[in-house]
Amino acid sequence: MIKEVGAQDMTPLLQVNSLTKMYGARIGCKDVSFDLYPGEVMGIVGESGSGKSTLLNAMAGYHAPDQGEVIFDTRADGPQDTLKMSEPERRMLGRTDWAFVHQPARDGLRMSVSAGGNIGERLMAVGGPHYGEIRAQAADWLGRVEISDSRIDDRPSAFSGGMQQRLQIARNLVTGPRLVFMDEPTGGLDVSVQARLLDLLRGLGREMGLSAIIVTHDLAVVRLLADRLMVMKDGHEVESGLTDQVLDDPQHAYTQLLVSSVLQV
Amino acid sequence: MIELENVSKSFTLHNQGSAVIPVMERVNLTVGAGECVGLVGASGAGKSTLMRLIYGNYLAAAGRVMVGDLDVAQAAPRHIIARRRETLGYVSQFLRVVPRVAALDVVAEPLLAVGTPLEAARDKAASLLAQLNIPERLWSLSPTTFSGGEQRVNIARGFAYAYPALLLDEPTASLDAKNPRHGADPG
Repeated sequence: MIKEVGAQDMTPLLQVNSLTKMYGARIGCKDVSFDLYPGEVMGIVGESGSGKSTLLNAMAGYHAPDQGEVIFDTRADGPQDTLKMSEPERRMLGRTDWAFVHQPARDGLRMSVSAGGNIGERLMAVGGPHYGEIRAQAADWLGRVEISDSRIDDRPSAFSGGMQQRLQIARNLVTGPRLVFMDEPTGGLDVSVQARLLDLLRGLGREMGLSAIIVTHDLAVVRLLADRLMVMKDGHEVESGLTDQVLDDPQHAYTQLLVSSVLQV
Repeated sequence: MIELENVSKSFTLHNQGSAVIPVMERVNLTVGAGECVGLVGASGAGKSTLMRLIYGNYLAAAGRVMVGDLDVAQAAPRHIIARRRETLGYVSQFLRVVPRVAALDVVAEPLLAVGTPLEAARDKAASLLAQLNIPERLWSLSPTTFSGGEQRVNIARGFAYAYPALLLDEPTASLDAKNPRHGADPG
């Protein structure tokens, strides 16, 4: 049984405080703050240019923010500001407790390396087990993301878009990260492939107790994947809360506009 | 178990001239453990709104919405989600699930969410689907693909895990005269 969580007894896994990223005079994202608790999945939605991807990249350390803190509850030393970490420390975090699922998938894969090699690379980077064990784990993970292990020696360039995305997810999750950043995880995929991927992500998230931050413009995707939602506009947070509450009873004018603009099938 | 104190709710439509639609004002309701309370009223009376306020799906404008010791009107998302997982179920006539997932897995999901092993969760789901008169050959199909599937699968899903409290919002609204009886007596 999962225990009910009290209000005070938990340290946030991630605390983002007043994070700001400027592009010259133009706002990328401004003064964004939130706490993410272990096991929580947060969606960030907004139109193109709303700052959601900028925020994701600033949190993950890809773009240096101008101001703010990104405090992660590390296994060894407890809460640490990742923006003040040394480059090797941050790189280690990126290979162990953090994962980043890119869009498109090929940005997060090594296209010249086999599928098995793509999965094994992260294990080797953390001084993983010997070759046979790595290959066995790679085969296991291919199975978990529903790719036949007969494809283990094929390069991802021979895979479909949906398979590449599943491979990227396997490559990211193999080291058992505690926090996953995802940029449009279902972007660019056929709707038939999207549904399968959503089911897979929900299952893996539940089994592994993953915390995740998912950026998407697709409100249907966040409804199915995210516990809570942040709505962004012009680099600012306009509204946040429980996902279905924000979508079904939006309080802010912009969120109301966003929700009422979705096309019905 | 459930206690509403002076709960008010209105909707402000910012993009339609900021029209304010008042829905309910200063509602009080107490439901004790083991009690079964029916809500009746004409369409638009606010029955569904009241249910959604209790479930945390709508945000109360004023008042307290206590589910156990948690004020849903104020609580952080993760606490509402824990309450929904372990304490408060909700069945409506609508089903929101990932497309093309088998009915059996849709029903088993609430059990998996509280850590029930897969085998046991599927067994329980199978017995509920059988009770609701859904032939076994349909269990591997998505609930949206067969007649009355969404409603009946929704009911089965609502009863898979033994929630201490359950909100039922017209769960049998679009079932035929023969099927509601199966829905009304899930054992």
